[in-house]
Amino acid sequence: MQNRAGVLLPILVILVSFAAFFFFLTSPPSIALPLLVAAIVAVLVLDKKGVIDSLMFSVSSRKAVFLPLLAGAALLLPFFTPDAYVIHLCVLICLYSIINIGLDFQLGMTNMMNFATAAFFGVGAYTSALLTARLQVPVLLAIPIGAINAGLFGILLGLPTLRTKNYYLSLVTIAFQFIFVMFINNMEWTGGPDGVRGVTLLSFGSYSLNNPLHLLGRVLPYQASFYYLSLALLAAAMWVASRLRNSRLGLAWNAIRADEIAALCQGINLANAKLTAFATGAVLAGLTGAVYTHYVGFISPNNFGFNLSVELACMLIFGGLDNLTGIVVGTIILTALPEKLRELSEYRMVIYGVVVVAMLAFRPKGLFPKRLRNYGLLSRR
Amino acid sequence: MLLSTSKLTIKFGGLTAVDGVDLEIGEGEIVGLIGPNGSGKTTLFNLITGLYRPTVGRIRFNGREIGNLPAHQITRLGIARTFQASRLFLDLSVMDNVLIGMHSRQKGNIWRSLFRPRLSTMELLEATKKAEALFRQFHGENLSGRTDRRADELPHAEKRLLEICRALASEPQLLLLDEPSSGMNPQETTELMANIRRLKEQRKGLSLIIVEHDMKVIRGVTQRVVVFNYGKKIAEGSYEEISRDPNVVTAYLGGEKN
Repeated sequence: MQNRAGVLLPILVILVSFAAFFFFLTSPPSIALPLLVAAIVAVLVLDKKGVIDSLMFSVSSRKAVFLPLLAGAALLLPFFTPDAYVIHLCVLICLYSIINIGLDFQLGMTNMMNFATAAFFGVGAYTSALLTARLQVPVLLAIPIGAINAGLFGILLGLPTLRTKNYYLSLVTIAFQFIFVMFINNMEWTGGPDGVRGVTLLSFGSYSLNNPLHLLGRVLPYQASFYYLSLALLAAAMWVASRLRNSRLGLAWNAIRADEIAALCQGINLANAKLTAFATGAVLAGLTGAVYTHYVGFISPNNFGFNLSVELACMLIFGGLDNLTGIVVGTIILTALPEKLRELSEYRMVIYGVVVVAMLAFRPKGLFPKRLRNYGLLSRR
Repeated sequence: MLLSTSKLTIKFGGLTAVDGVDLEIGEGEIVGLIGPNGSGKTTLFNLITGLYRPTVGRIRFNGREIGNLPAHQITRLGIARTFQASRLFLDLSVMDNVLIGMHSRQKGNIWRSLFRPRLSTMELLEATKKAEALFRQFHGENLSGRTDRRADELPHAEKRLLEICRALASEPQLLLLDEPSSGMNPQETTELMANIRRLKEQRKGLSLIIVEHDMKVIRGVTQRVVVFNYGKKIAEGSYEEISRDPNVVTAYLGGEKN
């Protein structure tokens, strides 16, 4: 009995969560917003009773059952809605989640504030866009170059952070963010404020991702192809993040977060660990940027401003630092919320702000607080 | 000599916190370091572990000059420490604290964790077994039953012990303990002393420097005592010798100015 509840309950929760996610995206604000509030309250109440912990435990102890279920639900999503806009939102959610997983290496695991995430995103996007549009580099080559280039910028930004902490570090990253936007606005070869037009669209051989997708006898809007691509990348990013978390490097990051001097005295090379956090995070943001470029086909400096950096950090903090579930859920909520509030025009950012502030005030650890590592589960694999 | 310092000096502005200290620690030796508050004991630890750079003087460890090495390399060479006020990784589990202590003895890197996942997981699991052995060896069941608890949930005395375990996890040749008994009640202090003696029986080659205000600990576990006052070494010898030394008595009780 115990055993069956340990499987059935999580299955039920996963299905209900997906249904809630789907209705949240597709229904009008008058339904979506109360649903969101109910979902947040449900999570908080269940967490207080320890249900979330035991659910997470069941899920991670029976990966063979739950991973296919989660993947299946995510894969079927486009079949439930013909609305290209909803699928587009899902693409954004996947892409932002990947960026936030990268940002979490810095902000969540190592406690280094970074307000230049959008700049890394932009470095990846511009690198890949310019390489394909100006130099006719094949897209599939340009994307990894974009990611690596962002990683190099990550190291570059990481260097001054070795000597600065806390507020000072925040300021350094903000400065970097503004320099980046100013730079691409003022250079001729970046297209200046007009951005880059006519970016080569993504195709694998003769198969273009920008055509409607024929799948299982259905015709899905072209966004669905990108949804599947970004979903696959998100899965890969989550795998990378959980590998790094349960490794010597992840432990070192957490040690630096808790106490830098004590970490140093355990033999941790602070410079290496911090630069790695910046570089790996920037690679993920850059990769995302490169894919995004070839998805939307047009980029301009406005796409990569300070606002986006702040919004990404909000998603991460809202959902819960150093917790993959939290990162993805936070990204879902704060990516979709402004869209749901679109009818309220200028008031929407007010409500957005109230939601974020309320979370910070009443639950500073985020919706899904970080959890301790479980070595018992690791050995079972 | 395992560790020797010569004319070791550090100045902070006008204050000379450690002033021309010559110190020698042999292999397997337990040395007590005492002195009034502010006499430079912790500063000496910070110098030896590389957190501070000496203004003047040398520190040799195993025949190698370490005065200019960064702290993380010094740990790798075999010097570990605890802190006067615990500096555990409080938001991590007891197990994680000790695993991080092993950092300098592990090889895992980002490539291995991504491209050799199985190997990397195996290494981590082996490390957890080593940590459990360390808990058992060092002081019985108190910590080994609580490895999955957050470090800040431990009672004070166990936090102090966990910090020692974390230091031991780096397999040091020299262990620096900064007031290990602070905040402990007499019974816990007695257990701590028993633990230190047990540790010495198991690791004969391990050298220790113990900063303590509790003279019971100094008398009970150390073989030699060094006394600091105003950053200078004012006496050195067995506990009996230094407790009769007029300089030491003056430093502790205050002397008449003649």
